[in-house]
Amino acid sequence: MSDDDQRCPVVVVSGFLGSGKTTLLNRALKDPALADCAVLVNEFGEVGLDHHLLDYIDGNTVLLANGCVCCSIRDDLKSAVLELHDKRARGAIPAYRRLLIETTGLADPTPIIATFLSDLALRHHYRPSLIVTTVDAVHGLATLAAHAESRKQVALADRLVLTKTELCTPATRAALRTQLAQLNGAASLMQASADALAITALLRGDAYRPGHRETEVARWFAATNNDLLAHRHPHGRHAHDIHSFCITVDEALDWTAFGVWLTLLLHSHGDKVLRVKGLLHVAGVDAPVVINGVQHLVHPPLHLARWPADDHRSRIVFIVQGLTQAAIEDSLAVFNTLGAAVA
Amino acid sequence: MLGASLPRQGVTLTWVVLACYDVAAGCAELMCGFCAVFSGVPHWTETASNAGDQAGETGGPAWRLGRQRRLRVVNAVLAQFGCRVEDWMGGQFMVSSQRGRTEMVEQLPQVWQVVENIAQRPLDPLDAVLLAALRAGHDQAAP
Repeated sequence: MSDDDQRCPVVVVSGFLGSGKTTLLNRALKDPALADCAVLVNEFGEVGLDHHLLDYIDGNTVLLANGCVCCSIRDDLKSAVLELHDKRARGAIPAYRRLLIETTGLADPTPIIATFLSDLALRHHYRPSLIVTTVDAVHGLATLAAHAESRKQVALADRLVLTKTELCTPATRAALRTQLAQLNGAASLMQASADALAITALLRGDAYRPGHRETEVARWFAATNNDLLAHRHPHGRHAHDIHSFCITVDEALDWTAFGVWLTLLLHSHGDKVLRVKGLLHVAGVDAPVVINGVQHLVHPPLHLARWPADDHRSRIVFIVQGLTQAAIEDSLAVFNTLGAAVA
Repeated sequence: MLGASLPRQGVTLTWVVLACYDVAAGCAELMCGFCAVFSGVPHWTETASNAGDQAGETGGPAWRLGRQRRLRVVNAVLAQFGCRVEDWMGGQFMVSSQRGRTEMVEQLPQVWQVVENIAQRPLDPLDAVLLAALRAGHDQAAP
């Protein structure tokens, strides 16, 4: 990934049925700073989206041979994006510099990420940027309890936006925030009722945007360090078994062994490793290395120019389903020693 | 463009490195000049990143050294499954079993899949038995 990456960032806006995705987009798109966005929607919902660059995705998914759902390619999405790209190249539409994709309320965002990471035509012009998930503060707790789709949308998110907060009690809001922090300790949590400019800023920054990397990576770990994550479920594990934790490795990591280990972990348990985000101290390398994965999919690693804090230990946030922190720590330690032994 | 002719069973396949094809992603890709098929999206363990990268330019000396080193780690794991993997011309991996079965694959995740098929058991890095065997292996190797 070069520093002058000119590819168009793609923001996926996810969230359960009725959680306020379109309302959030409508608000954000009124900001002149987002005037350079094109928007693709999966379906026309009850709330209309008023935007000059709005297009529609038709709807089928191609599952690759030997692939799992998270690695499936959205052929419909690819066609829609290439058509949009072609129109832009011909000057038929304004030159957008950012693409927002609003998914259906039941959609799993991972095939969208897979499409942009895997398709040879798309990956040269577009890059996955953020997954933003809206959560209805009034019904959020019940929805999370009842629907696995909702839990997964939350677990995969880089940004969680609480909507309808003015309609619920502070106690409900606090309980929901605790639940969200347990499900996804690495996502930034914000309220849709906050300053629209703050929403715009959060939609624009990501770890792959030059000038934003250090801030974005620091944000991953700030969330995992907060008090909400420390507030564990009484039984030590979230009721739905999706939970997040951050492992810290004191010794420098062997990059080769780490790559082999993570590849093998994702091969074996990729359906249970919903997100992995890490800042690594790699042996022999001064600058920290950033890794970012969504299930079986891993973004190309990045180097930061400098460490964001004085703590130079490797830290990796995992959002997993049914895996334990101890097992992952133990396994990584064995592979790291193995890497040093075979060097 | 850089070109390299690779002999294979009497046929010359030309893997062309399209050095400018993926400038934005910081990595080049391989295309077979014989059949004009791309070798696919490079695996993240083999892509260069933005600065001071250990992988080096795709196909270059540092990249090949990294690939060889990666295979040494992989082979330490595969030894527990009676298998072995070798680099094939920098473009594919050749997985072979002790009983002589051989398969060609392009990327590391496919290596794991092939080994599971050959060994008829899952390759799980969280498996306590596998971890104990790896630990014992490097304990023996230690001076």
